Amino acid sequence: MLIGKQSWIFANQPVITSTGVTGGPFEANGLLAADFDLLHEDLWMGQDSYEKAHRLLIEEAVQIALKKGTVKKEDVQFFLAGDLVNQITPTSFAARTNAIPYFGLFGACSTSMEGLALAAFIVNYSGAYHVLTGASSHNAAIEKQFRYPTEYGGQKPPTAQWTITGAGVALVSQAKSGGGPAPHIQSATIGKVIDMGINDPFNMGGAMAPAAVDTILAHFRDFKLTSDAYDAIITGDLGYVGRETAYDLLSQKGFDLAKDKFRDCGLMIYKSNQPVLSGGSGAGCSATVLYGHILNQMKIGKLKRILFVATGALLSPLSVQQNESIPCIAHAVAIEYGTGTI
Amino acid sequence: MPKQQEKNKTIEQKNYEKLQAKHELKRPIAKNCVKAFLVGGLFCTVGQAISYIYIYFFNFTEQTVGNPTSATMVFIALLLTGFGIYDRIGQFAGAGSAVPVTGFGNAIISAAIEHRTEGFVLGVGSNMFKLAGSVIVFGVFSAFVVAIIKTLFGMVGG
Amino acid sequence: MMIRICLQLLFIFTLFLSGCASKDDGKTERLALLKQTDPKPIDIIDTTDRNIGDEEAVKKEVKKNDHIYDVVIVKNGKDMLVAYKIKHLHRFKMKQVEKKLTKDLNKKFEGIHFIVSSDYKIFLEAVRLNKLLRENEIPREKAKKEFKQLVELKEEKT
Repeated sequence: MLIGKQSWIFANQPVITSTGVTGGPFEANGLLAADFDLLHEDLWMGQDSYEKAHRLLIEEAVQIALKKGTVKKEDVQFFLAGDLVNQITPTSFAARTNAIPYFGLFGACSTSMEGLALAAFIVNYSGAYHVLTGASSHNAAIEKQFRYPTEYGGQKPPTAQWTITGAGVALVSQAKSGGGPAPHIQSATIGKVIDMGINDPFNMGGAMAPAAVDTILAHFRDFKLTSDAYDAIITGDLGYVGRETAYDLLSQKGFDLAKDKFRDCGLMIYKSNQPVLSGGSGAGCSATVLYGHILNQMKIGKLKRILFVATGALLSPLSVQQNESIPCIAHAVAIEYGTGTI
Repeated sequence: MPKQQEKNKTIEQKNYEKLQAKHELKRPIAKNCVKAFLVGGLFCTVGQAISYIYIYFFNFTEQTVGNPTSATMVFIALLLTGFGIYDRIGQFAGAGSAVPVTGFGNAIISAAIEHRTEGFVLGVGSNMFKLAGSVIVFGVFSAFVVAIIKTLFGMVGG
Repeated sequence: MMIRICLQLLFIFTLFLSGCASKDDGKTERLALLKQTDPKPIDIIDTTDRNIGDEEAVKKEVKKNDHIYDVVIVKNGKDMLVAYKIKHLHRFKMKQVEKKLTKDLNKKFEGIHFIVSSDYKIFLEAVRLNKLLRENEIPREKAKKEFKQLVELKEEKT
């Protein structure tokens, strides 16, 4: 049901039944390695191109999610996912493999929440019993898409971020009455595209921060919530620069939030001694951290209600070369861990 | 072009730019310069050593040793790039590893490695000079301009 | 991983270098680049030092130049090869020194054809030839041939 200007409330509270999270070697050395279901030792993952490895990440994440949810893939109605490669081929090819009716999504790094919000919407209105949704990125494949060759020895500025290798897939299902506690999707806010005129592709955090802030404020406005409504507001991949800027911008707009409640996936996933500069990024960043680490945290009771905001920079290498600024978007989804209210 | 963009910015955008600039991590320029100087100097020392080796053991003079030396340096850059070391050196040293001929080699080789999966003709062949191509184009062009200037002055000066 | 790569590189380098140690006929002049040698001039036609007045005079003349600190002279009939080393910080003036020296020598000593060079390689080879001649370890014809090759090497540009 539409609430306010741009938000949905899901009265039937769809459940995230299970998740599948895969990662690469760099994530295996990171802080959240234990929260991944499968970690590859090699970026090639036994494939003969990085794009194929990217596809493999998604396929495996889907398989794991289905296995953990004890749902056969024939019982899943839709597959909503996306990535960052041109024409989102890795995801589409993975959809060819799993043969589930498929919506290809592109929202850059906000794809994870775009997918989750839409999946929840479909499930909430009985459009499906089970929907798979997810997002993924592969460091080498995405860097090839957007930046210089991976082995090129150019110096990146400290604002640059590290594209993570990983895929996170969630199985969203209709809530069953009498089921045990599970993460329920409460509401979602769809963001609008914000452009603050930043045109440095090595400073995506700074470009995306206003979009995150806009969506967060819209969410609280639409639901008439106070800033302590959530245990944490977690952003997708703002990185160090973006998180600081977004926090400042929020305080400037009169939104009062304790700083330790405002967290960022890009800063959570890696150890401080890994050479990731301003933090992790990529479509897989928010997906793997939410579907892995954050949901595990919710299961052990560390977090109960969260607002997850995934931000995306809608740029292409071409638009950057043509001196265009970077338009950004953010989508927010609120998740609560519990038995549900129905 | 960027200037016009500057004018088109709204007040909100300008304000945000200021706020953002406060948090933007600046490149440590002085530190980078020192690192670039040291690493670049190290590369050049290796190059000098190699050119002496060529002078000692082969029939090259100081005049003619330049070509084999840069070829060897590019070969070393090739090995370092292939083993995945050069990009780390590059992140540390910046211009120190980009400006010497090894940086040129790295630009070609990294692109070649990157596009190997697209095959030899459409991948390696057509993408190899993706980064280094402009160096060649503008190198040749500026050489052409300088040659023209020299020729004209030569004519005038007799 | 890193250590293995480094070892591999080291191995490749040692292979590379050890392959070059074949041309080894003379050990002391190897150090000619590092220390001052200042050998006596020599004439390929007559190696007995009886008539080297001219050569000694040329050497003295060259040594008068402030930029130069080491000279070797090999004479072959009317051709005289003058190779010298320039003080390191004066190497910026290398071209001018060579020009001036050639001019001065040609003026002072008529009838001799001078080949003047500050190239390390030429110097090295001249010292070697000088030494071999002095120790009578090289037949005259072969020495003449090598002298000719040296002059050709000096003219090579690339």
